[in-house]
Amino acid sequence: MSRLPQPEQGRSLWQDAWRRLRRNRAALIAMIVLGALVALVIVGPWFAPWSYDYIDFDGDWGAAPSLSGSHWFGTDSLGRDLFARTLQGGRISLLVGFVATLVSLLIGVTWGAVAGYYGGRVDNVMMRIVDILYAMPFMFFVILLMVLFGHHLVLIFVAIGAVNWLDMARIVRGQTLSLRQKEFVAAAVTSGLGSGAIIRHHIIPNLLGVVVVYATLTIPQVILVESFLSFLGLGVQEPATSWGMLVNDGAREMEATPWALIFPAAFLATTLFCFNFIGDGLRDALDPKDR
Amino acid sequence: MNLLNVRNLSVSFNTADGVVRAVTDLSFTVAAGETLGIVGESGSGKSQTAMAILRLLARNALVDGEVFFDGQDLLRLSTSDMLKVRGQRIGMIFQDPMTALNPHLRIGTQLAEVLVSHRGLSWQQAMAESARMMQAVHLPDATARLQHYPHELSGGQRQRVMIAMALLCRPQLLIADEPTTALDVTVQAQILRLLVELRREFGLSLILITHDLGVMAEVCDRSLVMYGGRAMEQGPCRTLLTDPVHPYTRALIASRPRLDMDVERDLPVIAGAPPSPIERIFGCPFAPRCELAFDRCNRQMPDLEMSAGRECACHAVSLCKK
Repeated sequence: MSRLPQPEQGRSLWQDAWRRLRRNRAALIAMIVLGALVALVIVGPWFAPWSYDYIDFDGDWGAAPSLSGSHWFGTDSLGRDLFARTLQGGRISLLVGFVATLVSLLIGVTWGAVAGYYGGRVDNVMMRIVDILYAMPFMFFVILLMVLFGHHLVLIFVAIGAVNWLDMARIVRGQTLSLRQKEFVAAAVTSGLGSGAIIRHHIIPNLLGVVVVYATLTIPQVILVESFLSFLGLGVQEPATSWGMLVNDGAREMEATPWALIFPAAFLATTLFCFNFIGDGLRDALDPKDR
Repeated sequence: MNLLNVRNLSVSFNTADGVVRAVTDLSFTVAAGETLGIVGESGSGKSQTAMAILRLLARNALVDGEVFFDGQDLLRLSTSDMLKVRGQRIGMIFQDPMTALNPHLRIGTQLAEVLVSHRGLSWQQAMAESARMMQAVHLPDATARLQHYPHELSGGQRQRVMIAMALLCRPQLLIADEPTTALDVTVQAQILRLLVELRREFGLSLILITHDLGVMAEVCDRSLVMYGGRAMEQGPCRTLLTDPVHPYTRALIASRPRLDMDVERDLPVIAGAPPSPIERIFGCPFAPRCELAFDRCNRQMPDLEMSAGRECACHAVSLCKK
């Protein structure tokens, strides 16, 4: 056996993946851009010269963007500062994206891992429930929620999360089925660990690679769904806004005030691109065949 | 006093293609401190026997018979009692150490977890105990190794970790399912030597499943030869290898390649193929390939003949007449 000097701490697969991810230029740039965007969206509104719901009666309504004035992105047709509104919209869009994805992640991973690990009848019942929920028309569900509980941001998280976890559960179940056959699970069973401990310590850590990749691809999807809901008037309510809503408003007046469409659309598109690049990079970085 | 007493064990699987018989009417014993080798080719039911003892078979398995371990019938224990037997009283090591460790967890975590759940040790105590066990299996820098991940270890080192894991709770019986098959030859010898040493040190009984007669000769006290899910011959390892009785055992020993033979020309092979486990066989499973077979062999399974510590199931040859 070798007596070579060994590092004190082992390098986990996650550290390896992180190193590979940093070497992927598209993913690295996407992470930097996304980081900057998130920081801007969080911190920006505190430093913006205007509030997102303040109507500037002194300026023109639908003023063009100018760096010399204080409306850097111009104003919308009601005279509200577009820079402030874009940042405010970003807060909501990203919040919906992250929270709804987190919700679907928690439910989906637990549900899928349990169904896949126990298999047999448990699996059958749990996955048929997923199938039934799949068949439920999404828009009908959202409209029902809005009618019953009124418009509320939390309802958007609930509605999107309630639908998105189904995909996650299916993916996780499939992965679990194949993990279950691995010898380390058999080894854990032979060393007398219970099912709960095996799911928590052996199945879920091995699922995380797939789950993280899927989550980064879910976030943009959720942001788009929120935009769609807002487009139909079922999402965020005025004067609060989201990128989807800003694009919708901007599209209506794009001949008169194209900047009201261009700026939020650019932010939205950049974010979606960034998530997709990071998702791609993560998938490559976590691919065990690369190792 | 036998530690393990397997009586009339049968294992079959309900599949879409019909009932697959993996093991039929198998009986054997393992005494305390003894090493039993189970030899047989692929599909002869060796591994399924081991899995049946620990009740780790797939869900569609049907098991019949009795597995007495230290006076308890394992096949009739409750699930929670079985959890206590696994790991604590019977340990198992697997064929492929590459896949038998969770790639996402530190080695120390995987070892300590077993101790925490079985013996209720604190995490620190469990880590210290794990380090001691890593030293017992001769892994250098045991404490530092605990912080490593499986992919940072070689195959032989991982198999050592697996052995350490199986021995953590000081089981009385260790089942090793082809522990050296996935390793290269020099490492194989080291692992076998380690098993022999640990057996003495921990007073273990050992069941070594292998298809390598050389491995068996090195380690085992007694051996059991399986074919088509049945016991063909059983006896003390040395006599079984030097003086085989059953035609299958003889053919098996004759077909070992030697360095001085031209493998293309001289290597004797057993003609034919092993029986399909789906077909119901009434006679001896080896009959279609056996040189000594006659009508009765295809109709009726021979009884096990016992004499002077040996057992043999064959119509054509007898332990006494030899």
